[in-house]
Amino acid sequence: MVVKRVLMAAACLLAAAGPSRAQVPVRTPVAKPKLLCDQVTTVADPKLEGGGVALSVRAEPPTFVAGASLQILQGSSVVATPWSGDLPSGAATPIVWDGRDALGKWLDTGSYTMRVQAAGVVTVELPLHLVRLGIREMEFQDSLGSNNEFPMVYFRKSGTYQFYATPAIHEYLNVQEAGELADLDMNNGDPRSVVPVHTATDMPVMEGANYDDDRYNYPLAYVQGSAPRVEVTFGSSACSKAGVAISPGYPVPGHEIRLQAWVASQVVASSAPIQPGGTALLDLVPLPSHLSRSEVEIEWKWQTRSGESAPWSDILGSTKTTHRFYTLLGEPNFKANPNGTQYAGPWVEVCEYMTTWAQALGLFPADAATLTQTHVQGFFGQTSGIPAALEGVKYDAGPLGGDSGSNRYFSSSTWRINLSSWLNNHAGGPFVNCSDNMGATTTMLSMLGVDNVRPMRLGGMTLKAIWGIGAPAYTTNLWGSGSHGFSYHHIVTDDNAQTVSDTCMQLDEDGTPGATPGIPGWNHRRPWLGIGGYRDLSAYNTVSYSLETLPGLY
Amino acid sequence: MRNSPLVSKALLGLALMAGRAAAQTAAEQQSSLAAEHFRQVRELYNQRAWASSQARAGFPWLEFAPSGWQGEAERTDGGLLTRHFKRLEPAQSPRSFWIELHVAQTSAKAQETLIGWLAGVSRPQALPSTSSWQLDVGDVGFVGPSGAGDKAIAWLGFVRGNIALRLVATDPTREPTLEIGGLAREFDQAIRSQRILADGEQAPTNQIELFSASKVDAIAGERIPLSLLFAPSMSAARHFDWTVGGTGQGYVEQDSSGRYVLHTTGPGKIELAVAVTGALGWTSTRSLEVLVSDD
Repeated sequence: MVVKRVLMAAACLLAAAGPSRAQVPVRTPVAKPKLLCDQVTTVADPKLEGGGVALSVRAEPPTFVAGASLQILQGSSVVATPWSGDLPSGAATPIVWDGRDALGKWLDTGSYTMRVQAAGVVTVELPLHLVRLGIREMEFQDSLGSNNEFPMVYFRKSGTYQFYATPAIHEYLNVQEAGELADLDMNNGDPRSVVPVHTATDMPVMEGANYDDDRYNYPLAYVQGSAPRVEVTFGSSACSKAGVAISPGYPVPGHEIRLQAWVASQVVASSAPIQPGGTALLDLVPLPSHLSRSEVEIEWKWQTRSGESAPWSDILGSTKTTHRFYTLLGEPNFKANPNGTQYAGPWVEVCEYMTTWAQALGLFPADAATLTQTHVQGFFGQTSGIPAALEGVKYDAGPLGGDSGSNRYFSSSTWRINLSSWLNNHAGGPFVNCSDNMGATTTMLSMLGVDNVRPMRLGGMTLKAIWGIGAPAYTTNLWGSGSHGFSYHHIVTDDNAQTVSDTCMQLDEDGTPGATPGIPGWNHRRPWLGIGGYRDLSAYNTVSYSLETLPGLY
Repeated sequence: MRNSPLVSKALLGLALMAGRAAAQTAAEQQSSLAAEHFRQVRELYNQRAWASSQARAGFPWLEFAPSGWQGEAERTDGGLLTRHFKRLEPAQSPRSFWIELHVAQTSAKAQETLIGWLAGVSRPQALPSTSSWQLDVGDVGFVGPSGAGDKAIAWLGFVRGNIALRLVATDPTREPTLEIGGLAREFDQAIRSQRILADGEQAPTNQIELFSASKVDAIAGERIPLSLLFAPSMSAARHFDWTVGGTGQGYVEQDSSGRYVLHTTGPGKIELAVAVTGALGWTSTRSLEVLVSDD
């Protein structure tokens, strides 16, 4: 009898060892009904979302079996009895176990035996391997053969301004803090929750007064149309019932495990067999081919097989992480500081502004012209869907409460724009002048990947009607004293003055540009020369210009 | 991100910088039109006639606040120190004004800073002088009148010896009666109370005696303790500005013992610079390099 039971168990085990959830025929003694175990889980991580151990039990020939039970054994000790009940005649009984014992404690990773037994039938024993699967970090990389992924930058740290580039070695990190035992589990054994996207645009994730260094999920920046590549690193420790760090329980002898990435219910990538603490490189689906912000949910699923030629079968459950991708026009252009800083500036906030403006304007910027249009209309605001100028600023003129067109954010001596202060709810005040606008526009467009953006300095101007940023209407009396001109003006070009852009003011396109009221004419890549050009519509005099170098920022 | 996508640009930038002085001056950046504009501004404001008093040993920018006000340092950049001020009462008062301060080596350089502020004014007409507004501040100064109210001031810039100071009303429409003129007087008085530099006395701009890293080769993710030693003359009150440059990535924070630590977060060559501004507004800078390998 003992020998027969062992043979039956072995048969059940062999059947289960093929496709891990295949039907397992069980030979029974002639005189007794036999049990069939279908859809048997062999490798399981009950801590995954939707995870657990599943099997289906029925008697053959169809017979009512009273008082059956499922026991989990570690060696010869019963450590859990997740199910007991009757098996009805002619119908399979599905059993799902959540991996916990009678006290609700998670069972440790390791090898177990599942025993299904009842009086009058032969006991069935099946192998079970509890493992702990999870991702501790993700490093988003360039697509193969490209340079198209870039760290993003935050600009605030508590009450101060500090630039913080998102870590290149892992933009997603989810590991134990000091005092915690394992990277995949909390100290009570519960699974460590996934990290939501960090949605603040000014400050990175903080842990007290310092940057968080164990748990974050930062947004990502790619050139439009890129297919992100991600290197995931698998967790290497779990937490036991006894409250100590233990192995994740794999590799399982005779079994391989791999990771799959699913996006929108489609599998997009599968890894090679994985190891705890090891890595896998996966290529994801292409991002939009225009400036955008998108939230992509990736469902991470694991599969197992019992040999190289065996088919892969799903391990129950999954983990879902969401990632925020900004797509840029091209490689960002940062002005190096004296010691070579590249990753500087309130970049996340700029990306957020620009993508929000594009959405409000119904634009899909995929080239410099459309991106500049998005920037100019969004920055100036006071248009459909964008009621105010960037951070609520207004032109520095006496009639608006300011003074004489003074710069508050741009420094001509350091040749830098204090974009951080401006984007911190205009901390330097609501008034701006043309140099402030030039500094913000050149640096913001450059960050988004527009090339060759440069300041264009104009000489003195006797102005026609203009509508200043943040002003209620057109004016021919800018300073309120009958004076209506500039000692100089700063605008922007990306094609060496063939066309120009200006977020500081709008020109009048109603046919009488010297008189109010006016019809707004956006200055995004407006021709410099010619009828209707910037020089024609802005001033009565012949305005001279010279090109200058891209400012730095802080 | 494993690769450093901006390596080529960064190397190009470094090569270009190697041929330049570390700090880019305004003159280097100026276009011909800008140079002409600055010349016109000097003429418009008759700079040749500006008075110039003796150079001071500095200004206590981290400590000084006019009576009834408190300040918060923002940052330093290229020798310009910025500090915001709000009223002590009520406790939740918004920021009312901010200052830009340049403690220069010479009065001529301080005057150039004032010229820079004036050159940023778009209106063609000259701003009124402080003296024309019966404001006795500085050797020379000018007022940006605000349209927010009668005698309201949007900003006021002046030079006293080697110190240039600009006070800017954060929002004159919110506080049209803010006494920028009176505040400027208090700042000027504080400047005048500073010690006058002796003939030939050098400004203390090299007060970092040691700046080193515990290692100069690291694997991305490593934390590298930094050492900083200051000259005995360096004040205890200091403001730090860290810049992580080059192709590598990282940030600097103090650990629980107060020691500065470089956290490396991306491969490449980190060019780490620290600018330490002392209590009197003099900035000392040092830099070092750390080569960070991929993890």
